[in-house]
Amino acid sequence: MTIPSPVGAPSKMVFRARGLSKVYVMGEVAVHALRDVDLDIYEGEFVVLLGPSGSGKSTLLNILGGLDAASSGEAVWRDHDLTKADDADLTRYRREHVGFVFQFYNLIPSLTVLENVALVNEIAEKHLDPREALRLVGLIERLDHFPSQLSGGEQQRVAVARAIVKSPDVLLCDEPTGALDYDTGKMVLAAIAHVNERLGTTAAIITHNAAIAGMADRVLKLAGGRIVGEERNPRRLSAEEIRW
Amino acid sequence: MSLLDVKLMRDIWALRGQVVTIALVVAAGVAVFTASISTYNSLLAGRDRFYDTARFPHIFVTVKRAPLSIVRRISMIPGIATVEPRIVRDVIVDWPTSPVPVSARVVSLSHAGEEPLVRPHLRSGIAPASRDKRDAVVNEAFADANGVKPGSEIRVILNGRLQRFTITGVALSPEYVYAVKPGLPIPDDRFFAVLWVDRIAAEAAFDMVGAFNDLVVSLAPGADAKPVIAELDRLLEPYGSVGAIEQRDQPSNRFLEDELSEQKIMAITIPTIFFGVAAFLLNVALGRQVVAQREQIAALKALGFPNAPLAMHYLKLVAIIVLFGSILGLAGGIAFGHAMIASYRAFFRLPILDFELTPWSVMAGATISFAAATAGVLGAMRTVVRLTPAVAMRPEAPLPFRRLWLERVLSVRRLSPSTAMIVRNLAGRPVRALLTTIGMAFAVPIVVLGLFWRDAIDEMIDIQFNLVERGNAVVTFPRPLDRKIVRDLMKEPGVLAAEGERIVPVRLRAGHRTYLTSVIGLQPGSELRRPHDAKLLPIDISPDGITMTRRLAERLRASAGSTITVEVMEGQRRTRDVAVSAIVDEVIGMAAYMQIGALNSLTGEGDVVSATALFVEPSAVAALLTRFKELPVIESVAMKGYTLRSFLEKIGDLVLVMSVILTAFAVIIAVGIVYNSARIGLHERARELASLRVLGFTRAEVAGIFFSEFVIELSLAIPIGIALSQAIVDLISRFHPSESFQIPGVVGARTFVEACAVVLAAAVASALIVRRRIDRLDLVAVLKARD
Repeated sequence: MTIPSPVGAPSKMVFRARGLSKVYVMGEVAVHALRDVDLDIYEGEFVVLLGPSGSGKSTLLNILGGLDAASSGEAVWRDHDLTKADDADLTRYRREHVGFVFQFYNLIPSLTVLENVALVNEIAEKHLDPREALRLVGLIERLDHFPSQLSGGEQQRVAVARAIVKSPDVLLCDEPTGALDYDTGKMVLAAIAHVNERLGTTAAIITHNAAIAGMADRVLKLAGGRIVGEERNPRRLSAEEIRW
Repeated sequence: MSLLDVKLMRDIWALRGQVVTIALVVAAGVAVFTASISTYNSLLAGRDRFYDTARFPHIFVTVKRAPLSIVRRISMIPGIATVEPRIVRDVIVDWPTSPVPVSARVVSLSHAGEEPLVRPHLRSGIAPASRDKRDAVVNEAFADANGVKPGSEIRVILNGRLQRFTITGVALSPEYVYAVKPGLPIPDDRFFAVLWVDRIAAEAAFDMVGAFNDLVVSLAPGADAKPVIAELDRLLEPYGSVGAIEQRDQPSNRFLEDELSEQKIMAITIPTIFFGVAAFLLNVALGRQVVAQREQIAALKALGFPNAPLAMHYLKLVAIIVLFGSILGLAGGIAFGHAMIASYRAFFRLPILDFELTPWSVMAGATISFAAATAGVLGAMRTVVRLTPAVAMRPEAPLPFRRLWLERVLSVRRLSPSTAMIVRNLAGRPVRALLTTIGMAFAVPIVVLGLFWRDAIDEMIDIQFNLVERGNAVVTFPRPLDRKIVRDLMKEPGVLAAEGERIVPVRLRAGHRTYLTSVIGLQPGSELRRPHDAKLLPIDISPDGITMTRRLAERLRASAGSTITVEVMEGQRRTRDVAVSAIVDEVIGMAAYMQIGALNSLTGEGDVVSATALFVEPSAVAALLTRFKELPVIESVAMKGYTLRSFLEKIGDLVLVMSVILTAFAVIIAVGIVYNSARIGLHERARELASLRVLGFTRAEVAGIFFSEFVIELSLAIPIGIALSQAIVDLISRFHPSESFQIPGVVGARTFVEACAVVLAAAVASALIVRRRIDRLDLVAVLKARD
């Protein structure tokens, strides 16, 4: 199946970053993880951030997701200035707007699949039925299993379901297939693409796997803490179509 | 320094919070252990030294009046080393400023203070010169309580005449470490003095020229007291001997032994419990520390380190913590011991009572701590090194969580996910939850052990002085008097009730067991002294037979219905077999009761009384006591209100020192458990908690989920702690060996509330410290780490 790319540029901007920099001071060494990055991401877009280790892609994603603070510059989520937000604001921002998927699934080991997903409903105001979220990632049969009883791919799909159950405005995925084998990796990517398409959730995926870039509306290439290239795919490939 | 040692130093720095809290637990254990053992040994050493240097006799005899000529015959009895005849009499002191009549015991000196036996230990001044009739030495307890110094004057009423003595010295005596006024169960230094005067003065005052009424004897080394006592009793019976007694039955010694056995409980029971808890905590905390480092251990193994140097590495960690804790504990123990000894000085009148450190107690304390910690570390090491490095380098496999049977049984289909997390985490590590709960639970009895004495004393006083002895004064007479005296006393202004009592010294015998005590003869239906049973219901004394306190019955292995032999130790010294009619529960003393008529017929006397219990209108007490000072027929007056207060003040000091210190240590235990459990829990669950934060849970919500387990454990620990406290107090009450009083196994609600509040506060404080770490969780670093 081929997903058609959006017609024209998406109208509404959800993220806007200007002059974004991040410096980690480690002892006597200052590491410039991000240098003066400008970036716009639009509603419903599927963006892949591509780059080698140390290119700054995770730092960028963490700042956009409210997990880290920039050293200078501006990062705005719609009308929220993330660079000026305190911890409580960022917590509310994550709670209401952001879904995360990490390389390591970070499920709660003492909760079943369904409970892991339903956990979010305790704090989110608008949310899907957890079963519906699990159906979207194809895991409706394993509701009562605990994480230790699932494969890596299954666990990651639970993580995706947990990320989307609160109907986030944006889904941020940091190397979501990094710990998975080829087939399960593709299954997880399909789930993410499905969510993006079905729910219109803006998705940003970090990867060093260039093949995944084919699934995106837009690919941002990072190196040395800067955005060094931007490509727009004429056609988005489906997860089944990509190879690596 | 090897690189492992460098790692060790850095680990210690990184884990400093845990290292300090664990070391403090070691310190607390070692301090209580060292201080208690050393304090007890210091008391024993102080007593032994005093008994030795002051030549405390082995045998004591009181007679009516015997000629000095018989002393020569007595000294020939085989086994006797030294014999010293004395004149000992109780008198009334004219002490105008005292609200209560003051009594004194006058004791004669024949060697100008250089007595061959029971030599007074002069604290200041000098002993009266030989043949001096005007000078006296006074006991230190009385001198301190009343501001008496050498040069002061004391006026006593001798045979109805006022006589003045000038105090030349202040002294201690092994015979009066506790100087107990006749008629009182406990010492009261303000109202009872011991006066040592030259024999010439005593002979003149009591008309005892060429005679004695008291004899002290020391035995030759290895001699058996029994045949000597038998021979003494035989020789002195014609002179009104009430029977020779051994050192252990001498009143002051008996009280001192009781106090020492009290301290033995302090020295053994409490440190044992405490140390058990500390060792347990050490074991658990250090074991968990090793498990938390499992990946490091595996990595070192993968690099080729054999097990032995790795084990040594962690044992060094243990050794450093234990050493640090032991040094702190030693310092704390010495300070605690000094504080205890300082508070004992008012209680134990010994010439030298210094804190002496018992060196083995420090070594033993450190060794036990080290052993407990080593066991924990090696046990944990074993589980880690048993895994292949490849497996161990991976993080521990998640617990095999499953739905709890309770969830299934109750078909609680859907606990809320955060509740399910809390419950399953607890249930998933039941042993840990149990250990943490028990550890916290034990902090409660440690506080209670410091505080419950207060409740025990209140209960004791309530039972003895509100239920049993219901009058407010007891007057005693120098000899049995006709019952008419009770009616005379009744006529005194302010006296609302008066009941005559006959108090007879006896030796009770059941089989080969004997006990020296008094039988108290009460009139039928007496109101001012009412014995009670175990249910605290008043019981009437049966018209025939003897009623005895439970501890006396246990001592004699007698029970209601059995027959015992009563040997009267005065007058005609009759011996009769009497049935035990009932057992009563009293907390102070080991007395026996009979109806006064039956007792008088047993002694062969008419209708006589030797004491009278009075209930005096409170406003009339002062005037009445002034009047009593003028009545020669009254030997002493005991006012329980005054005595109680002074007794309580003294015990209060002891209890305060103890409760402050034990409470501090309980805080250390509670903090040690909660802080270390929380730190380890945080280490294990950092990823889970960070995930929650990423999902949008606030810091407070995450801390709430994390600490809910502790709240559950704590809410289980508190009732368990209360039950444990009650059980330990019951044990102490049950096995408390004192003859002077029975510690009631009562813990007041206030004590429980205070103990629980201390433990809760300590737990909350340590949780707040860990909470700061939850707030500072580095979400990115935690989540990026490999699972």
